[in-house]
Amino acid sequence: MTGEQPLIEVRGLTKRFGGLTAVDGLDFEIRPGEVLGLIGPNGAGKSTTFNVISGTYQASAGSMRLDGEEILGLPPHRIAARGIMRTFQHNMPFEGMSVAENVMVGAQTTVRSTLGRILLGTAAARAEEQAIRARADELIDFVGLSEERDAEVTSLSFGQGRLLETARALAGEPRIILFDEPAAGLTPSECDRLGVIIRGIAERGIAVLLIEHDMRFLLPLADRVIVLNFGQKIADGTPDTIRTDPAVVDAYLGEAGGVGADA
Amino acid sequence: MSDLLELLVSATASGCVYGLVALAYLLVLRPTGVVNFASGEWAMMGAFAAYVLAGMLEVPTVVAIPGAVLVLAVIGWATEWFTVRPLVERGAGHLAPILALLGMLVIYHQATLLVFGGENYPLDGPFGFNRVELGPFAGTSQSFFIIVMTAVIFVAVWLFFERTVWGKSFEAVAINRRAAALMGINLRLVTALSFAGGAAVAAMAGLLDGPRGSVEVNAALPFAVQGFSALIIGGINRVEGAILGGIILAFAEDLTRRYVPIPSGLALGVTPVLLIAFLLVRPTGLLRAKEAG
Amino acid sequence: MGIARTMIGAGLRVLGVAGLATGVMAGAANAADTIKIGVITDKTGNARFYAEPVLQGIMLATKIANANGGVLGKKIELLIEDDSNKPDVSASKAQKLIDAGVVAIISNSSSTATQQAQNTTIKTLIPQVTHNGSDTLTRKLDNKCFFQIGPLGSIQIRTLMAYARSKKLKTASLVTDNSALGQILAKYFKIGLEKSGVKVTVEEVIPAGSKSALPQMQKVRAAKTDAIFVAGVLARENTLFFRAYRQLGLKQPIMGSFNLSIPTFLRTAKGLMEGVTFIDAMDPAKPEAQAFIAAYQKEFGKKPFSLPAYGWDDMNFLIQAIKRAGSTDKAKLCAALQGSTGWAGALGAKGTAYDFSKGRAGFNPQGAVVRVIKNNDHGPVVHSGTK
Repeated sequence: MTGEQPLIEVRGLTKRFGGLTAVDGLDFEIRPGEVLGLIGPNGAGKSTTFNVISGTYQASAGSMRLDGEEILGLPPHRIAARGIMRTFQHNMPFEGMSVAENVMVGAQTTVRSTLGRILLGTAAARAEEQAIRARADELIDFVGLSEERDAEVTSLSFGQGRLLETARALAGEPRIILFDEPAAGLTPSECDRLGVIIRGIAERGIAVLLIEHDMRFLLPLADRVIVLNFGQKIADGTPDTIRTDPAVVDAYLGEAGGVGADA
Repeated sequence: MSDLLELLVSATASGCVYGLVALAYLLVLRPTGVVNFASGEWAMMGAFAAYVLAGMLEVPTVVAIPGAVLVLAVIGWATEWFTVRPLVERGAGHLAPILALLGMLVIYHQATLLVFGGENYPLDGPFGFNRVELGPFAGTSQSFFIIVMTAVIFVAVWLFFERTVWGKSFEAVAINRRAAALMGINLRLVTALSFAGGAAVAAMAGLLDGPRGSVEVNAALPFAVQGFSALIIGGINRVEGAILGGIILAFAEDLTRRYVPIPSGLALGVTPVLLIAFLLVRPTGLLRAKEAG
Repeated sequence: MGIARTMIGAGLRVLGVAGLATGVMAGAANAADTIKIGVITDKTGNARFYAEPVLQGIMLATKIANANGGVLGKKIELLIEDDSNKPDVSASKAQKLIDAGVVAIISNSSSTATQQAQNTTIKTLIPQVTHNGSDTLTRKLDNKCFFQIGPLGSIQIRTLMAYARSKKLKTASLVTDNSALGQILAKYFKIGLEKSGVKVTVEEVIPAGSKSALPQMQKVRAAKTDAIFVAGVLARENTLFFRAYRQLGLKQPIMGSFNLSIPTFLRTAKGLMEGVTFIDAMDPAKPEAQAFIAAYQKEFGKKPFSLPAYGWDDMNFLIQAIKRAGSTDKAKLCAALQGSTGWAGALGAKGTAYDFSKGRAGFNPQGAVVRVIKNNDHGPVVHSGTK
């Protein structure tokens, strides 16, 4: 996996808010099928990084290449259309819609029929709708929400909502998914299930970028981990090397009494 | 009895016109949160567009109707582009687009007045006004034409929202704009299409109604009020609410005028009374947000 | 193609008016040699649809007078001001015209604006002429030099009621709209009908913006009255009335106000109005009306409706008085106008003439007519006078 060309190459990514530099010259890359963890203490710039990558925030400087093409600065829907999908720290389902409908909305960027053909209801457009419907069903099965397929999303538990977010992000046929603290608020068994799902996603060749505080969840899952502190990258390596990196232990993990320590 | 059935056909046709204007409001309101009172002007302009095409250029009706609808769709699209979008993108408050559209209402009104004056213009319906009998129901061919066209439009719009991923995406924008954008939905496109669609539907209302009375600039305000009332009655959450509200309003008006023994002038109060009643008792309208499953 | 025809038609109309304007303004080279007459008209307000055709008649009468050598050896020069049918503007425009040295003013917007302009003209006693029909125009102010040419509203109603009596009606339905004028007319219709012994058994209102008049007309049908009186003035709502009348297969005679004389209905309610009778002030059989019709037809290539005849009479009323006064001095002109008797204009029933010797509203009370719609056109007179 590591031998492949990077899918995304981030160079010198910087985001300033007034005088505060939240992300400061960040460099990293991620390859297809790789699970990359992004960790750091609160305020280290993790969420800002996500927001800049997904286009919610405009970067102050830097570049982000997808397959060698510069995409930094594109509006959110364009970035999403390029295959960069995200989930939210706080679930953001489309309330009032069913689970299946939510997942279908996630597939909007994959619709190839023109609006005119859809309105006219041409055979090709209808076939595409059918295909999207089928794929949405498949993804709902994949994340394990088959029972809730037609349920209104507000009836889901928090953990189920997280799974829905995952399925919805997958519906857009992403090449990379950004997970913003996916384990937060989940029960241990839900965490285990999510871990399996994330591995499954990576096995499909989709890159995964994870912000996570829960090291017990992250470290077994990640192929590689980047550590941020005050907006800067202070470490980049396999979970094993990170675990023992003195700078990391000092800056972040130390607080919790060492990596892998019982919380 | 035959009186009642004949009245119901005519009232249903009127309700269809109200419902189409309500739908024009709804299409813009759902994804943008903007109540567009210029919907009535759009209906009036749609009737004028049809008059120019069919009455002046003598284009056949089968071309004139889609032609007029297209003209208004472009006007709706342009309205969003020039007045709403710049405000939204500069982060103006929620009230700003509503005010800008009220400004557009005045511009539409005065511009049409400048071109056509306050005169009334005739618009021919495609099938005239012959008496048509469908079982016990009798009405003019124009009434039946209005009902059929409205049914086709509502079924099409309903199918679009219920059955297509694009339709679901419009709905997603209505529910949560930010999440929708991050799902890859193009907010600009959805907003522009909503305006184009709203104007197109309003145009249908205007050009279907035009042959009954005539085409005139003053028709705009009644369209706006009737459509808005139908919207409040039916509820702003669902497409079906617009047509339901329209037909309830028209039935209430026409049946009161026909059967309630009050002076004819007082029957004018039906619409405001109904509107106030719904705002007080059921401000979300008859149809609540859809429950999935 | 229709559009081409319409465009050419519009173009011709513009050219026609422009041509008239050139004829009218031609004498303006030496202003001292012209007789200036002011016109306050509505070009941009809500009365312009009445005012514009009337202005055509004013300009046509002026052009013809000038072509025949003018008046007292001088050409008439029109000074035209737009008041947008706004009363305050109308008053200030009157002052502007007086300052410009006009010998008389023709008021050609609504009665309200005309009334307001009187506040200005009464100060200098400059002669002011209007064709507006409001009964109060000559009553509110004792303005000795203010004259009313057209049929008063009360004459119109009495004429229609006389026609109703001649039909031996016992019951009538009264249909109107919710416009202010429509409501007022309905009130006068009702009073007039009941005075004439006709019982009004159904009163219906078609509100502005209605999509159909079927419920109201079903009640009218159920009431089986001898006739239906239309007092509404809104074109769209009246069209709905005619449509419902046809749809319900009603057969009773329809009698309407002067409002049905506007040509719009012949287009919006095309083919629906056959046999409808309405109040008008022009009798096409009257020789003076025929002279007007011929002049109009020569100028514009089509038959006029009655509106331009109002303006034609406004101007000719002034011209004949100036000739009789032998002067444009306002006091002499005012006296000549007061003494105008026996002068027949294009308006008024055959055999009737204006008479200003008894009052300043000079339209002959027997001069209003009832006409019938025939072949989707304003047809012959079926009744005239208030007896």
